[in-house]
Amino acid sequence: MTDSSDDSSDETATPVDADDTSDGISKRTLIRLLVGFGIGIPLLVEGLTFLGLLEQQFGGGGDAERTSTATDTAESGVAVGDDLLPETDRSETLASAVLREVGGDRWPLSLTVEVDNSGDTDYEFQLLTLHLDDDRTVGGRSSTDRLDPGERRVITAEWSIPAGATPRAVDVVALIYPDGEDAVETIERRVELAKVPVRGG
Amino acid sequence: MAYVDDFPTDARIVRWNMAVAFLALGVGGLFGMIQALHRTGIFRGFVSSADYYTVLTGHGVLLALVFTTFALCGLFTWGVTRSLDRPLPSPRFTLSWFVLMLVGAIIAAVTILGGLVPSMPFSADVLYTFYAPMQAHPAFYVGLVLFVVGSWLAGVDWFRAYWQWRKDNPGERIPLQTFMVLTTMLMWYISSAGVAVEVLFFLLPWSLGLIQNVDPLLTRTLFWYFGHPVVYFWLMPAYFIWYTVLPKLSGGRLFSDPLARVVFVLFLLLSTPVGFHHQYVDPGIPEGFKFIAMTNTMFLLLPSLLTAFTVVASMEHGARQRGGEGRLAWLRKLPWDEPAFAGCALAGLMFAAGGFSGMINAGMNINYLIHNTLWVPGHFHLTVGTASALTFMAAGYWLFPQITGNRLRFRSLATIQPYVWFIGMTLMSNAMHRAGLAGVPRRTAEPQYDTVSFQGVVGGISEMRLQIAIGGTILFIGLVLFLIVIFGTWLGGDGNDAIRVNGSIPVPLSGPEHSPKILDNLKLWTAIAVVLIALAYGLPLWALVSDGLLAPGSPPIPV
Amino acid sequence: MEIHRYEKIWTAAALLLIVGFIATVTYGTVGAGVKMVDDSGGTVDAGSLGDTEFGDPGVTQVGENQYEVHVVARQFLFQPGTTSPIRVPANSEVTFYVTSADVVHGFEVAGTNVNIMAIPGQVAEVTVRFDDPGEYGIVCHEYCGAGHHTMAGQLVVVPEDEYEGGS
Repeated sequence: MTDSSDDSSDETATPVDADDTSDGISKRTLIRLLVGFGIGIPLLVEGLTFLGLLEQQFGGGGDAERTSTATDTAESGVAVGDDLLPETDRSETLASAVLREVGGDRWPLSLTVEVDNSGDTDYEFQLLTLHLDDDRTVGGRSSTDRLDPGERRVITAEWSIPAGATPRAVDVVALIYPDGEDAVETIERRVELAKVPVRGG
Repeated sequence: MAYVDDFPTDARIVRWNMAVAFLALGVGGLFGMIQALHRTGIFRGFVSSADYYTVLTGHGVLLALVFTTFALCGLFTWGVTRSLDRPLPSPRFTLSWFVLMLVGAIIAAVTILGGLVPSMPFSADVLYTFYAPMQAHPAFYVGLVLFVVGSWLAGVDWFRAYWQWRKDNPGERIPLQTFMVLTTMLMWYISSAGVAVEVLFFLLPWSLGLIQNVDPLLTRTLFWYFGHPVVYFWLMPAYFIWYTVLPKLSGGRLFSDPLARVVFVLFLLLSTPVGFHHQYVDPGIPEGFKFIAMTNTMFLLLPSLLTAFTVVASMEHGARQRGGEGRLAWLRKLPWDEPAFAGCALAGLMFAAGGFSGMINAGMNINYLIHNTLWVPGHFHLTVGTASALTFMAAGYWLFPQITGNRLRFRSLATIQPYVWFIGMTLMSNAMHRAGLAGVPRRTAEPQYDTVSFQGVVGGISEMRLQIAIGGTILFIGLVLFLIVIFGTWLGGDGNDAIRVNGSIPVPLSGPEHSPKILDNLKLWTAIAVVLIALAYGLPLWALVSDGLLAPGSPPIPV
Repeated sequence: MEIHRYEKIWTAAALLLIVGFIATVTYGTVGAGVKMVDDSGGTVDAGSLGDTEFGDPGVTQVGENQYEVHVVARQFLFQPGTTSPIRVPANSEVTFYVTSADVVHGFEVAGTNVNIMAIPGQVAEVTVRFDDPGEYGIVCHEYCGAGHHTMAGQLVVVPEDEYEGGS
């Protein structure tokens, strides 16, 4: 089939079949609907954007507000070197926080805490559930077990978190054992963690 | 007599190429919707954020390489045989390149998808650009090599058909469709040399442990030597349809054959010596070479602007043949309810927008504002994602009846599908452009950071996210509609329908007899293209290799 | 070759547009003085950054209002920038030297036009004027592995009188 020059090929191939279109809508109405919405909606979207750009450039408050693109969260949360529970008179220092990217669906997060029982009575410190930024949690339990006064122990807790998730906070429990017959004083807190950078393989 | 009756063997190869293309489009498009929902935070249940990058690699490779190339092979096989009025010389040779491409694509795809299955030892989470030092499984690179070599052989097949025709037709002008095929493939041979060198001499041996290091900047430069012209490999088949089929769909004839030839020659000359515009903010490349790439890129606007004129002029001619009158009222006489026409026209319209956002990318120092932001995918979804993809879909509507012998099924779905695509793409791409201006990064599974908050330039960030998710979902619906029509048509008959579409193409208003013969001098244009590339790339590549082919070197880092 | 009159006009307009675009960009280069990242940063051995100025990344003052910041990008953090923000004073001229210790990363200061690639083996050098105080987020915008989307940091431009030295 070469290029042909006979007139019959000048017409478009399809005959004008008004009743071939859906539900008996006339061809004209169909085209109006298609083109009206199909091109109209995009033109509207682009037009609004264009007006927005003009307004931003010439109208608006000018560009006096050099808008900040940084958030305020950088300084909050417990970072490596900070105390996890400053309210106790014992120290629980976050010695390291390592999140490694490994192949597969789950990445290992390990938090190492140096607990120093500088108080007069026995003390225990536990790391429990880890909270992720999307409200998921990963269970776990790591404990110093009961520490004598003056004793110091380092514990490392590990959680296997979904790959790419961000650790947000960890549930900790501090148990202050009394001298006599009094009940154990329990402190339960959800401690917010500073950003733990992911380490590559 | 339909094409399938005149060229049964070639029709089969065209069908298979288009089938693979549209299957890849389906899987790649599904991945796209998953990405749109995931990165906007609307729904992250399909994959984890780490697996997002596997999906993204699949999306890029399946759509930007497999879909586009197989579609091109289907369209070009049809175009060459039709315009030369002879079948391809050797069905076995034709089958061999198709199988080679298919095997290569499957190997690459399986390697990529292995990243989703932890028990599989292979993966290729390196994205479609596979930058070193990130390393994929060696099978990924092998698959790519087979695929590209297969495409080279496809070009040889079409050249052989042309040489045979030339023996029987000395002194005649190359038929327009074949001319377009040959110039496109010459451009492809010149440009894919870059990625072939990158993969064969560097990445593949490096991934097998045969060499210790590669120079990341050198391999990246070789990729982008190829990475820009590949977009013309996607675009030229779309132009091929707009120039040779769209005028007929509009009811008329092509306005000018000579200008069409000029446009394709310009692409042959200018597509490759522009690659540095993808590396404007790379260290290690002197500014002078970036400036040259910028000027060359700006001149690449010319063939596209010329195309805009010719295509619109041809459509106007067709509309007036159908009774259109007035300065603009003739637009109403165009067959907007014909899916093949509507798809091509909307694709062309969207391409105009995409071309201009591309000029922003090309603007060297302006590029600082949007490099690697979401603006960039916003741009290329307009160009490859619509100009190419929607045109291929539109061509599918027109061609499938002719290559299967079945009438188009689900016609009402086909009628609305191009508009669905157009709306979905506008929503998604508009929001991507705006988000990019705010600095939101591309290629990121969760662009919501603890420490960074983006400031929208027009509209709020969360509103942009919603718009991307909605647009992406509408696009997926449009994709499903298309697949229903195409596979419904293919499988819905036995090849003996009386099809309504008429496959003949009228002669242009201004034919090849009006164009200088020199335009057909393919050897001349190829030589000039090579010279331009030597000027743009000779010195920079020399500078990169002069301190050592593999230095400064990096060992592989598997991802 | 006969060319329709409208087509000639269109082609001329197209060429004018193209030349106009080139002129705009050229003005940006020679008029406004916006330099592109180039090869002036030199090369390094990504495997032994410890032996270079990148061994101790951070901010150093090199002139009255001039500072240098050496940044190492690695999977998946900026050193400095991620665990503690990069701090420079307002009314200063800061030259960033950015490289990568492993794969290709990006370095984008959101809301500004500081937007460069960190390529192992290469040093990206870019000079920026910070006139006013402000806080900016830094994002890695080149895919660098499964933790890519966690890679971010901050740059704080401190009022001059509050500046106490680098990060």
